[in-house]
Amino acid sequence: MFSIFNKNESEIVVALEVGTSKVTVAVAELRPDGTLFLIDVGESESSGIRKGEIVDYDQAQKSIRTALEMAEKRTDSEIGEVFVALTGPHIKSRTVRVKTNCDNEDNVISYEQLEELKNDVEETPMPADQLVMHELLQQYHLDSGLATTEPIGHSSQTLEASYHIVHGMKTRLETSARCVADLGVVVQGCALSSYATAQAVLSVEQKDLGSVCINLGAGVTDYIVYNGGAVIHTGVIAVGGDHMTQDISLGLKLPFNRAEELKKLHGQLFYSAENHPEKVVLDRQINEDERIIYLQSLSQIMMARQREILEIINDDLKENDLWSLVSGNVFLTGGASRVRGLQEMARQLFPVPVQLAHELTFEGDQTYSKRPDLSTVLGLLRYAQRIRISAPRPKGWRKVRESFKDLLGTVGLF
Amino acid sequence: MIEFKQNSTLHIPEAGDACGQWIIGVGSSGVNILDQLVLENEGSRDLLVIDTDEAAIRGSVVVDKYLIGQQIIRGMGAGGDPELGRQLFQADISKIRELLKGTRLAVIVAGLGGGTASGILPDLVDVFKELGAATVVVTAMPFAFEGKRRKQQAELTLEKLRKSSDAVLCFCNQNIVKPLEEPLDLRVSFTQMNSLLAKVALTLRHSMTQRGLTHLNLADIRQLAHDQSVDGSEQLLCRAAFARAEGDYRVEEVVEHVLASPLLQDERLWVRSHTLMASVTGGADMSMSELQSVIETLKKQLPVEIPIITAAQVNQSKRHYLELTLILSGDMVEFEQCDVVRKIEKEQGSLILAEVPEEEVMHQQVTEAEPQFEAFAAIWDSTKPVRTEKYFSRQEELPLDKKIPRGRFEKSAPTMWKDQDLDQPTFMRKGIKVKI
Repeated sequence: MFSIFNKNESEIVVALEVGTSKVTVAVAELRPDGTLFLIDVGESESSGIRKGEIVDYDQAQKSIRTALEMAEKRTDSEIGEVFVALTGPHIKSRTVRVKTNCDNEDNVISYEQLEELKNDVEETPMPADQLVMHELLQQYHLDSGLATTEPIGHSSQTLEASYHIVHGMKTRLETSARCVADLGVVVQGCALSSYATAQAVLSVEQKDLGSVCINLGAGVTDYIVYNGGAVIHTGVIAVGGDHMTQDISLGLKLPFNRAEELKKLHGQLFYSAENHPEKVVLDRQINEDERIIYLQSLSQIMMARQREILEIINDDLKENDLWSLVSGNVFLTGGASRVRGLQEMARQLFPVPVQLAHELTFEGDQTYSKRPDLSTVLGLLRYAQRIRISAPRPKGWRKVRESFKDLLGTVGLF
Repeated sequence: MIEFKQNSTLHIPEAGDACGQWIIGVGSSGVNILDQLVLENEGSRDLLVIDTDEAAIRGSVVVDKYLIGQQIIRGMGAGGDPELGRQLFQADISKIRELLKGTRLAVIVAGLGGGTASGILPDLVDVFKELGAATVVVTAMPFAFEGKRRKQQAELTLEKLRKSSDAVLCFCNQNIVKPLEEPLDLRVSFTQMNSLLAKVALTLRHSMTQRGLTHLNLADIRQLAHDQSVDGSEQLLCRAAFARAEGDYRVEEVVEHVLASPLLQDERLWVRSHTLMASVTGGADMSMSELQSVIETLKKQLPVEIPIITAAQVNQSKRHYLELTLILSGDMVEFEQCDVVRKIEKEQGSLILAEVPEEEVMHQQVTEAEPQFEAFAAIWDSTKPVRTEKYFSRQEELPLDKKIPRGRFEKSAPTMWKDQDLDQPTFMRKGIKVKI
C-alpha cells in the first residue's frame, strides 16, 4: 500500500487502433527505466468502419468498447488513457523550412533558437479546416552547410530547420477521436498510422539509410518514406484488402464473406497451371449452393487490384522523385500483406529490394510477434513510450492525492 | 521368430463362445487383411475369416475360420459369381446364425468385386441385423485394371450395403496403390494396402469398444461414413493414414509422419473432405494433455478446417509411444475416377490383366496424348451434366455499356485517382474478362 508513495512505479500505456477489419488494443507496462513490456492485446471485429473511417458511429463505438473490455479482462487492468492511431485519405503531409538569426555575441546556437523555430513551425498558416497531427523534425541546417539534429553548441549566423508537417481534415480526425473519448477514455495522443507502423518495423539504421514502409490494411493502404533518420514523405490510399475481396465478390458473384474465405484459402497473385489445380470447390453452406471456382480467374482479379495499389504508390514516389533517396528496402506489413505472391509482385515493380517486414522484438508476450496486422498498434506503443518519457505524467503530491482518491473510492467513501 | 500355428484342419469356433465384438474378414482379400493383422502382432483374438476357397482358408494364420459351401463346391471358391456366393451362404445361414449369436459389434472387412464378398456381404449384414448387432463395413473397391464387370458388381454391392448396414467406409484400392507408383515389389504394395485396412478395422473396433480416454459410438462412425448435408447421395469415400512414433518428440513426429503420408498429399482431397477421424493410441503413460496436444498439433497442420472426431486408447504394454490413425472421408468421387484414368494410362501393358476388353485399351491409348487436366475435366463433365450446364459453358461478358458497380462502397465517398474510381473493381475497369 505504501507503493503509492514510490515515485519509481511502472505505468501502463495503451495503444488503440480502429481498423477497418478489426479494433486492436495493446496494453504494455512502461517501467521506470523507460523500457516497455507488452502485457497483452485485445481484439474485436469492427463494424461501421469503411476505408479506415467511421461511417456508423454507434456500431464503431460498440466494437471499440468490446476490444477495450477484452484488453482490460486479459491484462487485469483498468484502461483510462489511450493513444490512438488515425488514418484516412484526407491526411496529407509536406515539408516546411523555417529560418532564424542567432543574435547573440558568438552566434552560438542555444536552446532558445530551437524553441523559436518550433514556434514558427506551429504558426505556419493552415487552412481553417485542417488540423496538424505531427510536426516531425527532419534536420537543422547551418551556414556551413552542415545538417544535423543536434545543433546546440555550434556557431552559425542563421539557423534553418526543416520539418515534415502531417495534417488532415479537422472534422474527420475529431470524429475518430471523439468516438473513443465518448467511451470515457482519455485520448492522450494521436499518431498517423503509417508513422506508428514504421516505429514497429524500421530500425534506426533502416530509417537512416532510407526505407519505405507500406502498411496494407483492410480498408486503407498507407506508406511512409524515411531518409536520414527522418520522415520525408507519407501517403494514404483508401484502397485495401476489402477492395480485393469486393472485386472477387463482384467478379465471381459470391457473397462478401465467402469471397473473403476464398481469398484466404486459395487466393494467390500468380497462377500457374503446373503448380495449382485448375479449379477448386467451395463447399455448400446454408442457403448457398456448392460453387466451382477457376483459380485463374481468382488470380486475375486479385492481381489487377494488387498491382494497381502498388502502382499508385510507385507513381507517387516517382513523381516526388523519392526513389533516389531510398537506399534501403521496401518493407511490407499489415494484414493484407499476407496475400500470396505479394513480395514477388512488389519486386517486379519497385526499383529497390522488397521484403516482408519483421516486427522489432518486443519484451513480454510473444504470442503476437509474428502478426503483420498488429504492427501498427505495437508501433503506436513505441510512439507512446517516447511521448511518455519526454513528458511524464504528474508526479508528487498531486499524484498522491489522486491515488488516495482512487483508493478511498474503491472502499466506498467517495 | 514367432511361429504361427497353421491349422491343417479347419477350426470352426463353437457356437456362443464369441466375445461379442468380431472383426470378420470375408473373401480372399478379407482373409489377407486379417492375416496382416495377426502378422503385425496386433492381437489375434476375436477375428474370424469366412471364405468359399479352401486354399485361402487353410493358408490363413487367423485362428477362427469358416468355410462356406464345403458340401456343395468342396472349397473351390465362388469364381467371381456373386449369385453363387449368395446361394452358398444361404445354404449355411442357420449354422452361421448360431455361430455368431451374442454378437454386439461386427466390423466386416472385405474387398468388393469378387464372388464371395459381393455375394455374402449383404446377407451377412442382414444376419447381424437380426441378431441386433451393430455393423460397420470396411470395403475396398477393385483395381481399375480388374475391369468393368467387377467394378459394377462392387458398386451394386456397395449400394446394398449402404442401405442395410450401419456404416460403410469405402476405400478405393486404386488409391492405396497409387502413391507406390515407383515399381515396388508387388508383395510389398499388397502388404502395405492390407496393413492399412487392417489398421482401420482395428481402430474402429478399439475405439467403439474399449473404454479408453474417449470412446466413440455408432453415431460418430455414421457421421464419418455418411454425409448428412447432402440429401440421399451418400457417395463418400475414405482415405486412411497411419503413423507411429516413440521418444520425447513423439507428438510432433507422429503428426508430421501421418500427414506426410502420400495418400493425403492431394490438396483437392482436403478441400472436398467432410470429416476426419483421428484415433490416438498411447502407452500406459499417456496423459490427457498429451492427447490434447496431438489433436491441437494436428489441427494446426491441417490444410483446411474440418470437424475432427477423436478417439483415444491406451496400450498398457508400452510406454513413451504414440500411434495415430487418420480416416478422412469426403465427397471424392470425381478425383477417384480421375485417378483411375491416369493410372490406366500409365500402367497399360504392364499391369492390365486379361479382363480388360480390347476396345477399352485402345480408347485409353487415345486419351494418353491429352494433358491430364483435360481428362479430368471430361470426367467431371460427364458425371455432373447439370453442373456443366450451370457453370462451365457460360463466360462472363463484360458489361461495357453498363455502370460498373461499386459494391459495398456504394455509399462511401469515392476514392479518385487519375480520373478512375478506385472503389470499382480494377479488373472491370481494365476490361479483363474472367471465367466464372
